[in-house]
Amino acid sequence: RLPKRKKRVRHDQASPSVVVVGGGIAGVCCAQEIAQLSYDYRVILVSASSTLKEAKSVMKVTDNLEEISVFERRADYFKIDNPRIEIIDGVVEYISLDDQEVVLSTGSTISYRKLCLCTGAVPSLFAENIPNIIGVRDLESVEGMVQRLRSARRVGVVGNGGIALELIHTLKFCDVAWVVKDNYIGNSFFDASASAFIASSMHAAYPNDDNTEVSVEPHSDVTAVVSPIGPYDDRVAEGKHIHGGAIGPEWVHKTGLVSTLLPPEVTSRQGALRVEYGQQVCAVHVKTPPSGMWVRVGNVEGDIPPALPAEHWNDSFSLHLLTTEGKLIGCDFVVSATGVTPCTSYLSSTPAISRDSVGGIIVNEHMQTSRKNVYAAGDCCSVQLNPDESDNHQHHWFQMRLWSQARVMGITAAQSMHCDYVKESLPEGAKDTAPEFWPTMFNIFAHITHFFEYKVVLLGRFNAQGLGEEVEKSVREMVITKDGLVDHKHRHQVSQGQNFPEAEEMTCYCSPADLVERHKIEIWTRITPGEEYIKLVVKHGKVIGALLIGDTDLEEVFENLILNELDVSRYGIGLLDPDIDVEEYFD
Amino acid sequence: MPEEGAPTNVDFTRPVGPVRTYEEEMSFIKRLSPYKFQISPGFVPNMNVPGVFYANEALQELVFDELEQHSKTGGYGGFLPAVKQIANVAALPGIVKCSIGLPDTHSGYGFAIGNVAAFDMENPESVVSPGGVGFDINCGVRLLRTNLTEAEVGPVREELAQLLFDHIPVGVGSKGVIPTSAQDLDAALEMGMDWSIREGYAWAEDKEHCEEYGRMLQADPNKVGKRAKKRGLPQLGTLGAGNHYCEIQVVDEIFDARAAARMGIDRVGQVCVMIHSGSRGLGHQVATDALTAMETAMARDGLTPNDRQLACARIQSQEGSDYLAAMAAAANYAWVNRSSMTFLARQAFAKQFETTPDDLDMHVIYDVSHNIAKVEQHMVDGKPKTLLVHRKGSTRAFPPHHPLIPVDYQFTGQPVLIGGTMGTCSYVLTGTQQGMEETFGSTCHGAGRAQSRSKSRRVLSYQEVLDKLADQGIAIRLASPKLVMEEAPEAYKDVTEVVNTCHNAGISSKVIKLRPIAVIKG
Repeated sequence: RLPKRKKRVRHDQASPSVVVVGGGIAGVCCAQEIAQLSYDYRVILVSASSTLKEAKSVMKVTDNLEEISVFERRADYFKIDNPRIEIIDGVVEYISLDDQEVVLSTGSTISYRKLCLCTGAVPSLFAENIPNIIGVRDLESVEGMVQRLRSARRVGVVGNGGIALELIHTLKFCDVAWVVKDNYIGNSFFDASASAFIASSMHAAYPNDDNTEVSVEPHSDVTAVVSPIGPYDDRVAEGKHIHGGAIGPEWVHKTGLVSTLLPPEVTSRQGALRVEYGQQVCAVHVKTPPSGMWVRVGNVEGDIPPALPAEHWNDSFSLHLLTTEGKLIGCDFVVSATGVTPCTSYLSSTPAISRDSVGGIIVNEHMQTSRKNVYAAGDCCSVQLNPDESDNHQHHWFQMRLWSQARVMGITAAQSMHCDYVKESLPEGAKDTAPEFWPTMFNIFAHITHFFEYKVVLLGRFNAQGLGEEVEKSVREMVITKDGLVDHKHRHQVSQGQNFPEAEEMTCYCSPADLVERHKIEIWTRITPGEEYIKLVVKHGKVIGALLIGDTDLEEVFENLILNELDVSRYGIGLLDPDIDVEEYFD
Repeated sequence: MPEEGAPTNVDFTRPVGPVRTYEEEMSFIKRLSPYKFQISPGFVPNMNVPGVFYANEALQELVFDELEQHSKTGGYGGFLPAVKQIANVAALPGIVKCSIGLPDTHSGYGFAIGNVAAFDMENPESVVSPGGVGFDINCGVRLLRTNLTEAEVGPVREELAQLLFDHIPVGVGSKGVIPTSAQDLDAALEMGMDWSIREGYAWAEDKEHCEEYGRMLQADPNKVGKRAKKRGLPQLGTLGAGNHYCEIQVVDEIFDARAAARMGIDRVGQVCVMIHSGSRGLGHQVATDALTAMETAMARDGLTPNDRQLACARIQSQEGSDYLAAMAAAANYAWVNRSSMTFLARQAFAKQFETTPDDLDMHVIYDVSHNIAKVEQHMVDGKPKTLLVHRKGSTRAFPPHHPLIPVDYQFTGQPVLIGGTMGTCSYVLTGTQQGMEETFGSTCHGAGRAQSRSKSRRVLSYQEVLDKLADQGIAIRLASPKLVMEEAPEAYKDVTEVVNTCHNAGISSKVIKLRPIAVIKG
């Protein structure tokens, strides 16, 4: 079953091989760091794609927040700056733990002393193997999407994470139908009220807000037929597609694809946006060539409403989405931005390397897997932190498959491999002299990004992550109505004596009473419409998370307050008083 | 909400002491001279010594406004005005002479920023308080000189700013001049600038022009918790946000040519580099760990300060000495930080001018600490005393002939570096004998903020500020361009007002005025 092994890249005793698999952010950062740490290693980077992702011009915003720009380079250019990294073009077939070898699909093998798996993740499509439903992750898939945009009139977007948000921000020039499963947009970063704050600029970006019902044009030649759920066409199941590394932050802008590939007459159009809140796609209908019949396909979820009468189809679209609320949305193509799945199928013959239910390789805070000498970093791994007994502080970190975490994980894995190797090669009794690195990324969850021209800073448990599903839900859905407006009834405006001087332009809120009473959790927010949105999650008088939208410049002080675990209950929401300079105060 | 571990019978959200009207409060404050005010005992309970603060006409207004606001609202919000904080410090056990507020004083955690307080080391009751040092331990300013002039640097300031910016280390990776292993960090914490010299990032003579020779000997890395070290590891050699910056400045005016000459400054237009940074996350954690430990110790030792934020411990107690050892280590870390940035500035200049830092005469003029507590000898009531002097947001300013200042400055007094802010000027002062007598040899540290950042943001438009800076010929290289607005000069009590008040009050004297031509933040 397994391909026969051909030539071997021999393990050289004098210079131990460190093999890094994956040319994405985690893999490249890992290879660069290990090459930096010692000249003793032979560093081999196995990449399935001929372009490599690099993180460049990193800028520290605070101790733990970094702005990163990611760019792609062809492997031969990459080599000029990184002469010590050998790049092998190849796809991993399986890992042979006994021989300490990586076996490629070509049959060639590479032996390793230390191995770091950075094989990333693939977009999990809500419906597989349907033409015109695409995922977006690497440069290639973005290019494919942009090509389709040339002629598209209406694009469907499914998903509610960062990629979907950025797409909506970019696709202002065509009509967009956005299906989100929550009652608000951007659920991976925002709570409902932050979402309402962002949504107002989102709607401003689409001047022709499309609140009309979906136009349903009768077409006599078309009949709806329900087909069994399954792949629609074998031709699209063209075999394993190897994805390149994730494209990185603000990919649409950075790649400049939209502006360079699309003619101005396309980008100057003004599109309309409709958002279908609280719904999922339950069926996809595609037109079958050559007969032009409409067929229901796809591995979709939920109860499927009955087939629709023929006059509902709009024949000018290539597919129709049917939502759980029975809305039929015609689109030229659909972008599925419903998260990612770790790409680790090559480990199916290597059960000794433990993976979790979604396929993520389980690693500890040193990026060590369940097997010695094998490490993993980036989107392909799932970090399980062992509580440090000497350190009884709460964790302010949790994993999200973000480029910022991929980068630090890659570096951390390199430091661990180096540290472990040195320790192993030292004689007994001299082990203490090995360098010790501390994985500092786990100090605090810290992420910075930009949406709709706003700077967005996420610190600690900004949506009360890890405090139980009920609490988290309650924090996320604090102030939500179906149409994304803030519902003031759910909030307690601070009492008269505690009002802030500019109350008319700046509003401050405390959290709903049930959160305070039942869970000892308070939410303090300050909102200046169109300018800034500040939310603090406070538990037992200590700030445990912060969401900052706009140029608040409060990231450093709140990062410090979260890490300090200082009791701030005496200030109450006064901490957000715009006339108090909290940063100086806690200097 | 009840606080964990807090005594339940005390409501810390309310100020201690009677609720008075603004007029009643003001009856405790007396003007001693045009620049000096006294806060009489009784202003807050249990004052052991009076409070004193320095302000001129413009600055006193800010102080009194804050108090008036406080009286009106009945002290809601947990933020005390600076004068109340100065008075609360005067109620701490073992304090001598007076609790001093400098012209740039404003509200801070526990102690006001710009508060100096000294405690008698021989008095077993005397305390040390982390709030009197601040969170960013040994936050400070360093000034480098060059032999270049504005005519040479002006045309290339954009390139220089970019070079400097590009060289600032970027965190977790092992590139750059930052220690990344636990062992490196321990060595840096113990050795301070001696570590930088050993590693080749600093010149041996740099430490001659540093307070404490860039190394506090009582530093003990073992007293710095693992959590603090973890926070410190990725931060070494980075500037930090807020008021931390690196500036290329030119000499704008020389007030005292003799003292300036001792510092290697001999002409208007000469180019200098100012670096403002501290111990960052590591310092924050050292301070917080100590506050937590001391809260427990306070109950044991029967210490009940007016404000719970004034958590303190007897100097001779375990908690007290542990804190001083950890604080010293954090201070060493801050010096390594400033040394790393000095190295980068020298590299950038050498690269730009295709020569060596040596040939550019890029020596450290001086390096001052703003947030620190030190054991010093002072005269109190005509008798020499050994004191633990807390300086929070204030600068040591020793007079001529003091044994602890470098031989180069024996006849001029210790240089004091006052960082202004972007678009405004900075100053070099020297210590005076009067300052030694009145303020334990201390003076201001910079421009205090007159307005909060968010308020200033709404008053000033971003473009307005940028245009203004451009008009002044200042090149800006910023992590986030919006910072220009936030750090706009109008947000601060004018640094010139602050410096002039110190000069006129006689607690330090002006030597050089500098103005920026390029700013690097981030």
